[in-house]
Amino acid sequence: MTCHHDDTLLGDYIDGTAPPGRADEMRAFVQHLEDCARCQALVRDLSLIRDAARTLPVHALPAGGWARVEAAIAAAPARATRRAWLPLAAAAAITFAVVALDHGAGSTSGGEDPTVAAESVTAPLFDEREYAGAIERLQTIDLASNADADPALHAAVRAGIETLDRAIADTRDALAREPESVVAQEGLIDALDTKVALLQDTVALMQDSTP
Amino acid sequence: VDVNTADLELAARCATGDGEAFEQLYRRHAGRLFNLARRMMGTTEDAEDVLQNVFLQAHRTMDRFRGDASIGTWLYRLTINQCLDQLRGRRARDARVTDSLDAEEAPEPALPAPAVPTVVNRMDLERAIEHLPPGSRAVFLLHDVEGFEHGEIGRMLGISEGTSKSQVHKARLKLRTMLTR
Repeated sequence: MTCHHDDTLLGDYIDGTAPPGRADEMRAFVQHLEDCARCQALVRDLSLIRDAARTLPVHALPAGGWARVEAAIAAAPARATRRAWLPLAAAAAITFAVVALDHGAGSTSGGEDPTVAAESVTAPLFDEREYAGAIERLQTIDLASNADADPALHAAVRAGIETLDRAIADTRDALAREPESVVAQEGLIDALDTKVALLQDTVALMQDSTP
Repeated sequence: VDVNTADLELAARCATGDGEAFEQLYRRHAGRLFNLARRMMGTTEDAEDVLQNVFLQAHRTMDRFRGDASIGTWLYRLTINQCLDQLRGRRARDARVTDSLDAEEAPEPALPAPAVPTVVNRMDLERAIEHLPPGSRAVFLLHDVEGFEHGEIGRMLGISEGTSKSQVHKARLKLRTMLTR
């Protein structure tokens, strides 16, 4: 007794589907099946499995699925918008940090701000040429030459940045613990957004106060 | 209005940014897609993640839907691809050997038979399905559980109808082996 038929014939036999153009092969298989205990057993077992699979219970969709999808859709364009302006904002932050270092007013470390440098690295990469004009304009701001720079403003900005840095550190820790967490990712982005917005506003304010 | 026509009308509205139409599309298809994702992924949480990603992707790319397949088929394709992507990531993390859809060797059918109980315990079958390699599992679920024809599965997964038949047969053989241990 040989069982050298194509396995798909056995599947077609079980499923009751006639393979186009293979009627002769199917007839030969059916004839073979009458005398082959091995294939009879296979047909019986695989038919049982197929029939059981067709009656498996349905896993019910949990409630709240649409709300999750809706929230994800709502978050997607917002994130894209934020990313689009992040390099510009990061440039403003770096400019502010460099200028503050040169100026010295309100600086507590007296050196480079490592948080700002690290954040500029984490910013999504875009074609910086698109922002070259704005960056060039920001880099020409020379606060050191502004004799009227407000020490109280620097102190207030520094206090705000320190608070934001703690929030950034906390969210980074959360992200390190749960790298896949969308909540942690969004938290870090939001904290960074807030910081660069503060720096941007500060640069703008100093520009306005420059005679 | 048949199912496909209604879906196409919804898709056209979705492409113009009609959020209500997209919600209707979700409610029409999410149940079956979740059922498939749940069996592919093994947990409700992972299946929910898959479903969210599928509909997010569908929302982003709806304007590129060409209408050469039904929306349902397209969504099934997105779901299977999402499942396989996530399972590949999981397997890579687990440093397990990956399988491909066409490279699997069929196990030798157990002899002598019969061996499968005349009444297959559903729980045993569910557990056995979870142990199929992802590629075989996808084709088996689409054919034997969801009821798709081999031609539809082939178009969905980018494989030939013959490969779909062969994969279903191999999956059934593997399940037979597992259910008779």
